[in-house]
Amino acid sequence: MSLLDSYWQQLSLSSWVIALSLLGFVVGRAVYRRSEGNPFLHPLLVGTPLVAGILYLINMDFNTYYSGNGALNWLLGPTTVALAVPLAKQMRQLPPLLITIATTVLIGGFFATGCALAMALIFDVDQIVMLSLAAKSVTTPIAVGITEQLGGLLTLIVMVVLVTGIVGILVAQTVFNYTKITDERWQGLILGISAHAIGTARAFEQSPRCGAFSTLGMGLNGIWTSIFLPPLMAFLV
Amino acid sequence: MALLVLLVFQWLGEIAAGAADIALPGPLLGMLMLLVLLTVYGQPLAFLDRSSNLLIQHLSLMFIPPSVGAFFLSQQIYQQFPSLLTIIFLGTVAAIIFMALLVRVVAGSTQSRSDQ
Repeated sequence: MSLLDSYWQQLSLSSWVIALSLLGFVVGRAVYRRSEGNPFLHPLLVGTPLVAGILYLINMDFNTYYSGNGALNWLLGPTTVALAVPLAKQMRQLPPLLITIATTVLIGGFFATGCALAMALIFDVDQIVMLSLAAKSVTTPIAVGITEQLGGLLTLIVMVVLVTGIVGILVAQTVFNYTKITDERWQGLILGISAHAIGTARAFEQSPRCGAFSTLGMGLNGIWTSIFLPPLMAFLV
Repeated sequence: MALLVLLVFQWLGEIAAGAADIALPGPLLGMLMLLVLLTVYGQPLAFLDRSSNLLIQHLSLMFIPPSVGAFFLSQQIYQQFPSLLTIIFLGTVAAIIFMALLVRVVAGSTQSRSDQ
Protein backbone atom coordinates (compact mmCIF):
# COMPACT_ATOMS: atom_id res chain seq x y z
CA MET A 1 0.00 0.00 0.00
CA SER A 2 2.73 2.45 0.93
CA LEU A 3 4.54 1.48 -2.23
CA LEU A 4 1.45 2.32 -4.22
CA ASP A 5 1.15 5.60 -2.33
CA SER A 6 4.66 6.70 -3.13
CA TYR A 7 4.23 5.61 -6.71
CA TRP A 8 1.08 7.71 -6.99
CA GLN A 9 2.84 10.67 -5.42
CA GLN A 10 5.64 10.41 -7.90
CA LEU A 11 3.20 10.12 -10.77
CA SER A 12 1.15 13.14 -9.75
CA LEU A 13 4.33 15.16 -9.17
CA SER A 14 5.65 14.22 -12.60
CA SER A 15 2.42 15.08 -14.39
CA TRP A 16 2.47 18.44 -12.61
CA VAL A 17 6.02 19.38 -13.58
CA ILE A 18 5.50 18.13 -17.13
CA ALA A 19 2.51 20.47 -17.30
CA LEU A 20 4.93 23.24 -16.30
CA SER A 21 7.23 22.38 -19.22
CA LEU A 22 4.20 22.23 -21.50
CA LEU A 23 3.14 25.69 -20.34
CA GLY A 24 6.61 27.04 -21.17
CA PHE A 25 6.48 25.38 -24.60
CA VAL A 26 2.96 26.60 -25.48
CA VAL A 27 3.68 30.20 -24.39
CA GLY A 28 7.07 30.16 -26.12
CA ARG A 29 5.63 28.84 -29.36
CA ALA A 30 2.74 31.33 -29.31
CA VAL A 31 5.11 34.27 -28.84
CA TYR A 32 7.44 32.95 -31.57
CA ARG A 33 4.56 32.57 -34.06
CA ARG A 34 3.21 36.04 -33.22
CA SER A 35 6.65 37.49 -33.96
CA GLU A 36 6.69 35.67 -37.32
CA GLY A 37 9.82 33.75 -36.46
CA ASN A 38 12.05 36.37 -34.86
CA PRO A 39 15.16 34.34 -33.86
CA PHE A 40 15.53 36.31 -30.61
CA LEU A 41 12.07 35.08 -29.59
CA HIS A 42 12.76 31.37 -30.19
CA PRO A 43 10.32 29.20 -28.16
CA LEU A 44 13.16 28.02 -25.90
CA LEU A 45 14.41 31.57 -25.25
CA VAL A 46 10.91 32.59 -24.10
CA GLY A 47 9.66 29.37 -22.49
CA THR A 48 12.81 28.50 -20.52
CA PRO A 49 13.08 31.72 -18.42
CA LEU A 50 9.34 31.45 -17.76
CA VAL A 51 9.65 27.94 -16.30
CA ALA A 52 12.84 28.85 -14.40
CA GLY A 53 11.04 31.91 -12.94
CA ILE A 54 8.12 29.80 -11.75
CA LEU A 55 10.52 27.30 -10.14
CA TYR A 56 12.21 30.16 -8.26
CA LEU A 57 8.82 31.54 -7.17
CA ILE A 58 7.50 28.24 -5.79
CA ASN A 59 10.94 27.39 -4.42
CA MET A 60 11.24 24.05 -6.20
CA ASP A 61 14.76 22.75 -6.72
CA PHE A 62 15.92 21.95 -10.23
CA ASN A 63 16.56 18.25 -9.66
CA THR A 64 12.99 17.60 -8.50
CA TYR A 65 11.71 19.38 -11.60
CA TYR A 66 14.16 17.63 -13.93
CA SER A 67 13.54 14.09 -12.66
CA GLY A 68 9.78 14.71 -12.82
CA ASN A 69 10.25 15.38 -16.54
CA GLY A 70 11.67 11.92 -17.23
CA ALA A 71 8.93 11.13 -19.74
CA LEU A 72 9.97 14.08 -21.94
CA ASN A 73 13.61 13.00 -21.81
CA TRP A 74 12.56 9.50 -22.71
CA LEU A 75 10.87 10.78 -25.88
CA LEU A 76 14.19 12.20 -27.10
CA GLY A 77 15.43 8.69 -28.03
CA PRO A 78 12.65 7.76 -30.48
CA THR A 79 12.66 11.35 -31.81
CA THR A 80 16.36 11.06 -32.67
CA VAL A 81 15.56 7.87 -34.59
CA ALA A 82 12.67 9.71 -36.28
CA LEU A 83 15.14 12.19 -37.84
CA ALA A 84 15.92 9.40 -40.32
CA VAL A 85 12.52 9.93 -41.96
CA PRO A 86 13.00 13.49 -43.34
CA LEU A 87 16.66 12.69 -44.04
CA ALA A 88 15.79 9.62 -46.14
CA LYS A 89 13.77 11.85 -48.48
CA GLN A 90 16.92 13.83 -49.33
CA MET A 91 19.16 10.87 -50.12
CA ARG A 92 18.08 10.73 -53.78
CA GLN A 93 19.48 14.23 -54.42
CA LEU A 94 22.88 13.15 -53.22
CA PRO A 95 24.77 11.26 -55.96
CA PRO A 96 25.48 14.02 -58.55
CA LEU A 97 26.53 16.50 -55.88
CA LEU A 98 28.38 14.00 -53.76
CA ILE A 99 31.83 15.61 -53.97
CA THR A 100 30.73 19.05 -52.87
CA ILE A 101 28.40 17.76 -50.17
CA ALA A 102 30.95 15.30 -48.76
CA THR A 103 33.80 17.85 -48.78
CA THR A 104 31.69 20.54 -47.12
CA VAL A 105 30.32 18.23 -44.45
CA LEU A 106 33.62 16.47 -43.69
CA ILE A 107 35.95 19.49 -43.73
CA GLY A 108 33.39 22.17 -42.80
CA GLY A 109 31.86 20.18 -39.97
CA PHE A 110 35.29 19.42 -38.55
CA PHE A 111 36.31 23.07 -38.86
CA ALA A 112 33.16 24.28 -37.04
CA THR A 113 33.94 22.08 -34.04
CA GLY A 114 37.72 22.44 -34.19
CA CYS A 115 37.49 26.23 -34.33
CA ALA A 116 35.31 26.36 -31.19
CA LEU A 117 37.60 23.94 -29.34
CA ALA A 118 40.71 25.89 -30.33
CA MET A 119 39.15 29.06 -28.94
CA ALA A 120 38.09 27.21 -25.79
CA LEU A 121 41.77 26.34 -25.29
CA ILE A 122 42.83 29.94 -25.96
CA PHE A 123 40.23 31.35 -23.55
CA ASP A 124 41.27 28.68 -21.07
CA VAL A 125 37.74 27.70 -19.98
CA ASP A 126 37.14 24.87 -17.50
CA GLN A 127 37.28 21.35 -18.86
CA ILE A 128 33.61 20.79 -18.07
CA VAL A 129 32.65 23.88 -20.11
CA MET A 130 34.80 22.68 -23.00
CA LEU A 131 33.10 19.25 -22.91
CA SER A 132 29.74 21.02 -22.88
CA LEU A 133 30.36 23.20 -25.95
CA ALA A 134 32.14 20.71 -28.21
CA ALA A 135 28.91 19.52 -29.88
CA LYS A 136 27.69 23.08 -30.49
CA SER A 137 26.99 22.84 -34.23
CA VAL A 138 25.08 19.57 -33.98
CA THR A 139 21.31 19.30 -33.84
CA THR A 140 20.20 19.13 -30.19
CA PRO A 141 19.03 15.49 -29.87
CA ILE A 142 22.34 14.27 -31.27
CA ALA A 143 24.32 16.91 -29.34
CA VAL A 144 22.71 15.74 -26.10
CA GLY A 145 23.68 12.13 -26.88
CA ILE A 146 27.28 13.12 -27.71
CA THR A 147 27.63 15.39 -24.65
CA GLU A 148 26.33 12.60 -22.41
CA GLN A 149 29.05 10.33 -23.81
CA LEU A 150 31.71 13.01 -23.31
CA GLY A 151 30.61 13.70 -19.73
CA GLY A 152 29.62 17.36 -20.31
CA LEU A 153 26.67 19.24 -18.84
CA LEU A 154 23.38 18.59 -20.62
CA THR A 155 21.94 21.75 -19.07
CA LEU A 156 24.67 23.78 -20.78
CA ILE A 157 24.86 22.15 -24.22
CA VAL A 158 21.19 22.79 -24.99
CA MET A 159 21.66 26.54 -24.52
CA VAL A 160 25.00 26.49 -26.39
CA VAL A 161 23.37 24.76 -29.38
CA LEU A 162 20.48 27.22 -29.31
CA VAL A 163 22.74 30.30 -29.27
CA THR A 164 24.87 28.78 -32.07
CA GLY A 165 21.78 28.39 -34.23
CA ILE A 166 20.65 31.96 -33.60
CA VAL A 167 24.09 33.42 -34.37
CA GLY A 168 24.18 31.27 -37.51
CA ILE A 169 20.98 32.54 -39.05
CA LEU A 170 21.77 36.13 -38.07
CA VAL A 171 25.08 36.23 -39.96
CA ALA A 172 24.65 33.63 -42.74
CA GLN A 173 22.94 35.87 -45.31
CA THR A 174 25.60 38.58 -44.94
CA VAL A 175 28.36 36.00 -45.48
CA PHE A 176 26.55 34.58 -48.54
CA ASN A 177 26.30 38.09 -50.00
CA TYR A 178 30.00 38.84 -49.51
CA THR A 179 31.20 35.45 -50.77
CA LYS A 180 28.62 35.44 -53.60
CA ILE A 181 27.07 32.09 -52.68
CA THR A 182 23.84 32.47 -54.65
CA ASP A 183 22.98 28.79 -55.18
CA GLU A 184 20.33 28.05 -52.57
CA ARG A 185 21.36 24.40 -52.40
CA TRP A 186 24.74 25.44 -50.94
CA GLN A 187 23.17 28.11 -48.77
CA GLY A 188 20.94 25.41 -47.28
CA LEU A 189 23.79 22.95 -46.82
CA ILE A 190 25.93 25.52 -44.97
CA LEU A 191 22.99 26.62 -42.80
CA GLY A 192 22.32 23.00 -41.83
CA ILE A 193 25.95 22.24 -40.96
CA SER A 194 26.56 25.40 -38.96
CA ALA A 195 23.13 26.22 -37.49
CA HIS A 196 21.40 22.77 -37.34
CA ALA A 197 17.60 22.79 -36.83
CA ILE A 198 17.33 26.58 -36.41
CA GLY A 199 19.21 27.08 -39.67
CA THR A 200 17.03 24.43 -41.30
CA ALA A 201 13.84 26.18 -40.18
CA ARG A 202 15.20 29.40 -41.71
CA ALA A 203 16.18 27.56 -44.90
CA PHE A 204 12.64 26.19 -45.29
CA GLU A 205 11.34 29.78 -45.07
CA GLN A 206 13.45 30.57 -48.12
CA SER A 207 12.41 27.54 -50.22
CA PRO A 208 11.72 23.79 -49.90
CA ARG A 209 14.88 23.07 -51.87
CA CYS A 210 17.04 25.18 -49.57
CA GLY A 211 15.36 23.47 -46.59
CA ALA A 212 15.98 20.00 -48.02
CA PHE A 213 19.72 20.69 -48.38
CA SER A 214 19.80 22.15 -44.91
CA THR A 215 18.20 18.97 -43.52
CA LEU A 216 20.87 16.99 -45.32
CA GLY A 217 23.70 19.15 -43.96
CA MET A 218 22.31 18.97 -40.44
CA GLY A 219 21.84 15.19 -40.50
CA LEU A 220 25.18 14.34 -42.09
CA ASN A 221 27.08 16.71 -39.81
CA GLY A 222 25.36 15.18 -36.77
CA ILE A 223 26.54 11.73 -37.82
CA TRP A 224 30.04 12.90 -38.76
CA THR A 225 30.57 14.91 -35.56
CA SER A 226 29.49 12.02 -33.37
CA ILE A 227 32.16 9.91 -35.10
CA PHE A 228 35.15 12.26 -34.89
CA LEU A 229 34.40 14.15 -31.67
CA PRO A 230 34.82 11.46 -28.96
CA PRO A 231 38.34 10.45 -30.09
CA LEU A 232 39.27 14.13 -30.64
CA MET A 233 38.14 15.02 -27.11
CA ALA A 234 39.97 12.01 -25.67
CA PHE A 235 43.09 13.43 -27.33
CA LEU A 236 42.54 17.04 -26.15
CA VAL A 237 41.33 16.50 -22.59
CA MET B 1 2.79 1.47 -34.31
CA ALA B 2 5.23 4.07 -35.58
CA LEU B 3 6.51 4.65 -32.05
CA LEU B 4 7.07 0.92 -31.78
CA VAL B 5 9.14 0.94 -34.99
CA LEU B 6 11.19 3.88 -33.69
CA LEU B 7 11.72 2.18 -30.32
CA VAL B 8 12.78 -1.07 -31.98
CA PHE B 9 15.42 0.82 -33.98
CA GLN B 10 16.56 2.70 -30.88
CA TRP B 11 16.87 -0.63 -29.09
CA LEU B 12 18.82 -2.16 -32.01
CA GLY B 13 21.07 0.92 -31.99
CA GLU B 14 21.71 0.56 -28.28
CA ILE B 15 22.53 -3.12 -28.68
CA ALA B 16 24.89 -2.33 -31.57
CA ALA B 17 26.58 0.47 -29.57
CA GLY B 18 27.04 -1.86 -26.62
CA ALA B 19 28.25 -4.79 -28.68
CA ALA B 20 30.71 -2.81 -30.80
CA ASP B 21 31.89 -0.82 -27.76
CA ILE B 22 31.88 2.43 -29.72
CA ALA B 23 31.19 5.85 -28.25
CA LEU B 24 28.17 6.62 -30.43
CA PRO B 25 24.76 7.27 -28.85
CA GLY B 26 22.42 4.27 -29.34
CA PRO B 27 19.53 6.34 -30.76
CA LEU B 28 21.92 7.78 -33.38
CA LEU B 29 22.95 4.31 -34.55
CA GLY B 30 19.25 3.40 -34.61
CA MET B 31 18.63 6.46 -36.79
CA LEU B 32 21.40 5.35 -39.18
CA MET B 33 19.90 1.86 -39.45
CA LEU B 34 16.45 3.26 -40.18
CA LEU B 35 17.98 5.71 -42.69
CA VAL B 36 19.68 2.88 -44.57
CA LEU B 37 16.47 0.84 -44.58
CA LEU B 38 14.32 3.74 -45.80
CA THR B 39 16.87 4.71 -48.47
CA VAL B 40 17.03 1.14 -49.77
CA TYR B 41 13.24 0.82 -49.64
CA GLY B 42 13.01 4.13 -51.51
CA GLN B 43 9.43 5.07 -50.65
CA PRO B 44 8.07 7.14 -47.79
CA LEU B 45 5.90 5.21 -45.32
CA ALA B 46 2.82 7.30 -44.48
CA PHE B 47 2.34 6.05 -40.93
CA LEU B 48 5.98 6.65 -40.07
CA ASP B 49 5.88 10.11 -41.68
CA ARG B 50 3.03 11.38 -39.55
CA SER B 51 4.36 10.23 -36.18
CA SER B 52 7.91 11.31 -36.97
CA ASN B 53 6.71 14.77 -37.92
CA LEU B 54 4.68 15.03 -34.73
CA LEU B 55 7.69 14.09 -32.62
CA ILE B 56 10.08 16.39 -34.49
CA GLN B 57 7.70 19.34 -34.21
CA HIS B 58 7.68 18.92 -30.44
CA LEU B 59 11.46 18.82 -30.06
CA SER B 60 11.47 22.24 -28.38
CA LEU B 61 9.18 20.87 -25.66
CA MET B 62 11.64 18.06 -24.92
CA PHE B 63 14.47 20.58 -24.59
CA ILE B 64 12.74 22.78 -22.05
CA PRO B 65 13.77 20.72 -18.96
CA PRO B 66 17.54 20.69 -19.74
CA SER B 67 17.46 24.36 -20.88
CA VAL B 68 15.85 25.38 -17.59
CA GLY B 69 18.96 23.91 -15.98
CA ALA B 70 20.99 26.76 -17.52
CA PHE B 71 19.42 28.97 -14.82
CA PHE B 72 20.58 26.67 -12.03
CA LEU B 73 24.30 26.31 -12.79
CA SER B 74 27.18 27.05 -10.41
CA GLN B 75 28.83 30.49 -10.03
CA GLN B 76 32.02 28.92 -11.37
CA ILE B 77 30.32 28.29 -14.71
CA TYR B 78 28.48 31.61 -14.87
CA GLN B 79 31.83 33.38 -14.55
CA GLN B 80 32.84 31.77 -17.84
CA PHE B 81 29.75 32.88 -19.74
CA PRO B 82 31.44 35.89 -21.43
CA SER B 83 34.17 33.60 -22.82
CA LEU B 84 31.59 30.97 -23.74
CA LEU B 85 29.42 33.44 -25.69
CA THR B 86 32.47 34.90 -27.46
CA ILE B 87 33.57 31.39 -28.47
CA ILE B 88 30.11 30.53 -29.79
CA PHE B 89 29.80 33.79 -31.73
CA LEU B 90 33.28 33.84 -33.31
CA GLY B 91 33.31 30.07 -33.88
CA THR B 92 30.00 30.09 -35.72
CA VAL B 93 30.85 33.12 -37.88
CA ALA B 94 34.25 31.63 -38.75
CA ALA B 95 32.66 28.29 -39.66
CA ILE B 96 30.13 29.89 -42.02
CA ILE B 97 32.78 32.02 -43.76
CA PHE B 98 35.07 28.99 -44.07
CA MET B 99 32.34 26.78 -45.56
CA ALA B 100 31.18 29.49 -47.97
CA LEU B 101 34.73 29.77 -49.34
CA LEU B 102 35.10 25.97 -49.38
CA VAL B 103 31.88 25.54 -51.39
CA ARG B 104 33.05 28.18 -53.87
CA VAL B 105 36.29 26.29 -54.48
CA VAL B 106 34.82 22.77 -54.60
CA ALA B 107 31.53 23.48 -56.40
CA GLY B 108 33.35 25.89 -58.74
CA SER B 109 35.88 23.27 -59.81
CA THR B 110 33.31 20.49 -60.32
CA GLN B 111 31.16 22.97 -62.26
CA SER B 112 33.93 23.85 -64.71
CA ARG B 113 34.83 20.18 -65.07
CA SER B 114 31.29 19.30 -66.11
CA ASP B 115 31.27 22.25 -68.52
CA GLN B 116 34.19 20.91 -70.50
